[in-house]
Amino acid sequence: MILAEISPEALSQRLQGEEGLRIKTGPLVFSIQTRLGSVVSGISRLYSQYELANPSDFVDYYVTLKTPSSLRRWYKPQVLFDFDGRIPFKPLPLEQAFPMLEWGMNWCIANHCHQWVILHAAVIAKNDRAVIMPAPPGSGKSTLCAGLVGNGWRLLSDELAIIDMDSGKIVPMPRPVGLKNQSIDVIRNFLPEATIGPVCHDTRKGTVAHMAASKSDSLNRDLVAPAWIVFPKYVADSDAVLTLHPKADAMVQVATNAFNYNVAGLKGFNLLSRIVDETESYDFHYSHLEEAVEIFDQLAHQLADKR
Amino acid sequence: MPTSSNYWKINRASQFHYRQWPDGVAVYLEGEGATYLLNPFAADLLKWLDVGRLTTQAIAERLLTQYPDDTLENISTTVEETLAELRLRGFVFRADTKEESGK
Repeated sequence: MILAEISPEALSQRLQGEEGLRIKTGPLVFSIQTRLGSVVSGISRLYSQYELANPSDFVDYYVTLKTPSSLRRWYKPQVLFDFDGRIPFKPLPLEQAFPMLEWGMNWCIANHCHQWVILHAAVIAKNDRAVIMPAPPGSGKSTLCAGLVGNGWRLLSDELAIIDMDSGKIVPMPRPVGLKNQSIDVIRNFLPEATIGPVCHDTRKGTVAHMAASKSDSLNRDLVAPAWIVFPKYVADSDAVLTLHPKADAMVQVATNAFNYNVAGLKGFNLLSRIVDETESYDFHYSHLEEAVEIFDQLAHQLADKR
Repeated sequence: MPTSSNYWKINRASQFHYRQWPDGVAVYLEGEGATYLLNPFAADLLKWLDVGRLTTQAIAERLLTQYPDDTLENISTTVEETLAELRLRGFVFRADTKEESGK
């Protein structure tokens, strides 16, 4: 059963109930509890195509979005992210409750799922081969990711590249794509059909909003072998240019973007080295999403032709 | 006979692992959990020192056979500069005189 199949009342009841709303994101199950209207509405809008877990399914993480029990709730209300009964972060303004849920869920995965090597990177795929896109904040990674998944590419994640230790394949963890500042309007114009959640201003990342994943991406659990590592960068007024990136440096960049490389140790180094060996590494500068989509499609077609 | 202070030794606090590509070498320090980028020349020096301590002179003489058109002096300078960079990163150090004399 997917979330869209239950009524708004049932959704609210689950979110307020002791069991929480149990939702599947990739191979993980989150139990989400909240009474906050903005979070209920955000989940309803952006997770409508996600599968609900069965009562017997193991829950990986219990998270709750709630207001602190303090006087402050009356004049500058805040929101807390509760993770398995702990409060790992300082409170944020109440208006940022839904983004806080997204950031908190990412934190749960990046800091606890050490059965995988996890990179700070977007991952998309076409023809069953994946592109890993590691990049620092502000590089245009999520904008590019959104533009591509709106044009036939599969979303595996816009934030966390999750790598299976044995196969080296990417584990899908498709969640709403985080958009910031100007990129919100860029995607609204580029993908008029996209479902974009509430816009939240004045966060630590500026103005943020999230774009929903498609139903097929939300439900797809197939792992994908990576074929490319692309370091994207938005450069104003630039043509879309794809250039080879030196492999040794790609390895170091990828390792630098790993959340839990130190936990994986030598196994992680060998895994990432193998991925760099088996993929092509590129730098990609762009300013127009139309051109970006064209170049990425060419990449996918060239590989498909070779196969 | 070189003095003991001319010896270079690898820092055994970490175990070094290498993955080489034509454009460079990624070195993983197992004890530290960090990965560094080196040029192939620097990585070769590190690998030699991983086998055993060497003097700059011995390294330069070994390299002269690979680069016969170069001079021993030029090679020695490059080796010293490269090892100095590796020392700054904590990968190698000059052998201590006391340690060398067994005191």
